[in-house]
Amino acid sequence: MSWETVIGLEIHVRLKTEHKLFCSDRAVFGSEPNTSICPVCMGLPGALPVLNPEAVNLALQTALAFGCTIHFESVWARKSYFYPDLPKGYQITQFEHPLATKGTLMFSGSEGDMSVSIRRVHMEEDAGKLLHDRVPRASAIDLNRAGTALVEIVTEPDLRMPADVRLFLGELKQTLEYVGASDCNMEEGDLRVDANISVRRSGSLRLGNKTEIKNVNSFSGVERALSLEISRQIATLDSGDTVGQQTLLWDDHREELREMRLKEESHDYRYFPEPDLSPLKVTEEQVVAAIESLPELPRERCSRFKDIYELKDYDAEVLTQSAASADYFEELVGIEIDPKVAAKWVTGPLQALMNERREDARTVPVRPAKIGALIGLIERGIVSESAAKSVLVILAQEGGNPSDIIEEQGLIQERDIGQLTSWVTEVLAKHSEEVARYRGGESRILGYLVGQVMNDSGGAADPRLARDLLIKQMSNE
Amino acid sequence: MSIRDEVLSGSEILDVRGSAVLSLDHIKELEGGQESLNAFLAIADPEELEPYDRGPLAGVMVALKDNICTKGLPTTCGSSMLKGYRSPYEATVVKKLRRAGGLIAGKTNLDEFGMGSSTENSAFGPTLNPVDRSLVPGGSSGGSAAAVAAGYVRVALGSDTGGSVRQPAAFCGVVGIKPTYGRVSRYGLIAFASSLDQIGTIGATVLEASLLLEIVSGYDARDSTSAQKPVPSYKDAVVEGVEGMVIGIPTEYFPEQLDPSVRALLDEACERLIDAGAEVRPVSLPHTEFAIPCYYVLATAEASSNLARYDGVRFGVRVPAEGLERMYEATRGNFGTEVKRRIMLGTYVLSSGYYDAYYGTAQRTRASIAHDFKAAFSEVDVLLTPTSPTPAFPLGERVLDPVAMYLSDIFTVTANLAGIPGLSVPIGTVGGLPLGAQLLGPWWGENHIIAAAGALEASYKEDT
Amino acid sequence: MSISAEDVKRIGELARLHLDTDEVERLTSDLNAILQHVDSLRDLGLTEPPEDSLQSGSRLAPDPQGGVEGPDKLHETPVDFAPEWQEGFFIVPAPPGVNPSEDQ
Repeated sequence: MSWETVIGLEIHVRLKTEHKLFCSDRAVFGSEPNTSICPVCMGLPGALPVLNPEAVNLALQTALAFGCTIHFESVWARKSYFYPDLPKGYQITQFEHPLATKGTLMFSGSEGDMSVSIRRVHMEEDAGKLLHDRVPRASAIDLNRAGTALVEIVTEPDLRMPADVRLFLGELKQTLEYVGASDCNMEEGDLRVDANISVRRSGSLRLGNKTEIKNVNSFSGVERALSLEISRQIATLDSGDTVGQQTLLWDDHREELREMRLKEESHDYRYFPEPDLSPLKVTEEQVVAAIESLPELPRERCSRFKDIYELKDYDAEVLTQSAASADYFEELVGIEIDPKVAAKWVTGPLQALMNERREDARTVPVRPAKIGALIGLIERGIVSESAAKSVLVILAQEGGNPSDIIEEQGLIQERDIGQLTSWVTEVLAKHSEEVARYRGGESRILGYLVGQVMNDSGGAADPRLARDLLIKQMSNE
Repeated sequence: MSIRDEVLSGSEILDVRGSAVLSLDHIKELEGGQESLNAFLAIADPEELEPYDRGPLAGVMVALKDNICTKGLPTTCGSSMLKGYRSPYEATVVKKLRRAGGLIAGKTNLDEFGMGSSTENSAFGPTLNPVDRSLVPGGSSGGSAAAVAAGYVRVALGSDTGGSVRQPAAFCGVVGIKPTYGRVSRYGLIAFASSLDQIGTIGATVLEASLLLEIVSGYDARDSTSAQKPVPSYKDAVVEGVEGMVIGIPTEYFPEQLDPSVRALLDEACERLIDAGAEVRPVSLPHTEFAIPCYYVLATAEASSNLARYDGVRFGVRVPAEGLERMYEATRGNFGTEVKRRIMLGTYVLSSGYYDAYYGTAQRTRASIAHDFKAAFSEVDVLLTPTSPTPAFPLGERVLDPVAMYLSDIFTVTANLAGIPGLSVPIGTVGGLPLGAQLLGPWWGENHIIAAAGALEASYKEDT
Repeated sequence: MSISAEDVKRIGELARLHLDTDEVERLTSDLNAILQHVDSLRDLGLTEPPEDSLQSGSRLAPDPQGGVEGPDKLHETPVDFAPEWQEGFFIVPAPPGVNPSEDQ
């Protein structure tokens, strides 16, 4: 018997706004608890929400990145439930009339290019944080996060495989970062995923009973949680039982799903239009402006890189992983660096440098002009590639000009035949065994010998000249 | 709007400058004694008053309904849930009063969270009507109306969700104005039903209630439902007269069973307006009979949600209990009977499967009621009706019959549903008890109803 | 439509109101009396609001959107008004299904 899995996602994304959605407290993280709070986000009696327009533009751009239809009038609604991190006893969200509906997102999945339909994109406020490890035998509430701006992105149940869910989420995250809507910092909970999942017989059109997995904040976690739940549902169905509707919480440490025991009535959210806020109106001009400010999105950029710069798939994908590194690359190309060389530097030494410094292509201190100059020096034979990598590190640490650093550090490539000959002669004398192997036809050993010359010269030797000299001397004797 | 210094002169609000401290002591003495009306839940400490001598309200004492968040005094909403609660921020209207030089005399009693028409639903005991202590003062702003009627203060703020300023003003023989929805900021007014609540003023005279309204009106960036509309001079409107004004008499507000003595007083008011130069003609507001059920669906739905925040977590009273759920229930057990009843009704009409039948239908009815008014105001300038079908009723008479209590709002709830301004002005007595006439005006037309009320008041004054 | 005692209990749970037997009984009868009046609305048979009418209170006012100068400052800190406050946090009993740490 074969089964088919049906997966739909609800993704909450924290928008990158300076202030909260309905009050002017700053949206700050990592600061002292309960310091960015006011009567509004604490839900004190008599306080009223006022919309922060900066969030609307980010939400609009998000929806437009998925090609959604924007509704010029959408309606705020109250979603009621009791939980200690929800100050007012209701969350201000959008229900019957969301900001945007009907979009799609393409991604590279298990079957090549795949697409998922986006059912809706709406705005809402976040709840606070409930912490269980701060005081003995009780829970502690931090309301700094309460009232920060979120968009909720709801997909149609188009996904079938956990691996594709991970790839789709990767594309979604990349898109949100390109648009500048969110930092998508998973550790800080900028992106949270709930998944609805059901299993049916292959070929059946009817959906099976679904369960909901909540609280997953890593893409690999989503994949693992879904795989686990699919196996459980299939095992249940295979044994002739039916899957019960339930909500499951993913425990990332224990790698297990726990059932969330909810009161039966807790799904009755009693939505109704929020009377404290007028309907959200966006103008045609706002939408046009948002469309115009929309950047080239990751997939388009990736295929353009392949087409016009003739990059390999892998390089194009790595470069367009973030808008910042793609921009960096194009700046290098703009100053006449060969695209393939530029790609090699951005994905190689620069990436290594950024990883080490925990920086991205926007913040890394070595700007494209500097790397461009360095690459120019390599091409002119003034510095070796390996020496250039250490120049890069010095540039990042101390600033300055590549040519000055090369001079100060004595990294200018040695091309004097006399000097090179003496290094080569020394190496050959020390490595008679390797020389014999080379002469015996093991030509690969040449690389090792070049390396030894580079070593002895402290990296100063021009490797091409050293190689030529090695070959010449070994065939002469 | 900037508050102009010429808005008030000392003589326009009587019994004020220099006498504030004395008055407070006097009120304390009266309210602390055997003859207490229980109009105040808190009275300011005279030592704590900041003696402003500048501004249009310089030295004027203002009483505030206890659902308006105030610095330095408790804000309880008449509920055990907020017993002793001190708001850490202040309502916009209170800031405006202080900036205008006003002195906050104290906080007045009310039906818990504004839910009632008699001030009997206060957790801190009922307020008595100063006209006759065996009667209710009306509600829910009963404390404010009683404080003005007893002469403790000349002006007070109330709030009006379904008639809560106008009806107690009528019961106590004073003037009450509920402005257009959006005219006065609700920031810091503890919500009962957000789309219906509006702060209103109560004054001993039309002029005083109007002057106070002028000061508290205007746009507030902290209330998205407050309107960016210029505030006209209400003081000027008081003496504008009714020459050429067309006054509509809605037939639905004069049903057959209306007490003949009430009808007679309204007829007389009509005659006086005609004498003053107004034209009177009948109009129809056909959806009036559906206003009460419509109101009770919408108001309780919103209330059930607005009162969810009283969970014992962040502020107010907590009743400790084992576990979170028990703590919620124990804490929320502090709500009084009427509040519980309304939370239950509101939760029910919003619950799964009932939303459209109740809430949806009520929203459509509300639109029809507003439409009725729109049509009427294309023909007439203001409408004249009774404020309430009867004068003040005895304490205890209706507490056990919620439907009868709800029906006492029958003539006032329509203005809240439509969002239009309404005013109650005394027009004599029935069996020795004050009766009020209600004037309703078009959206943002407070000046019209103030003009008509000013003319009526002047006409009765000439008699004496 | 009429409301049963079971409905009243369910609604009470939803609203986090503890109702004893007497209260359930009284509320059942009160709510039925009120709902009987409310049912007259449905006899009206309105399906669409009249054209150019006003949907709700909030729609009566024009739409100012934005422009608050800053958060309203608290003149008392939560420690003064919170029912329970420790080390900068509001404190509550743990929600069902959560086992808070026994010690710090």
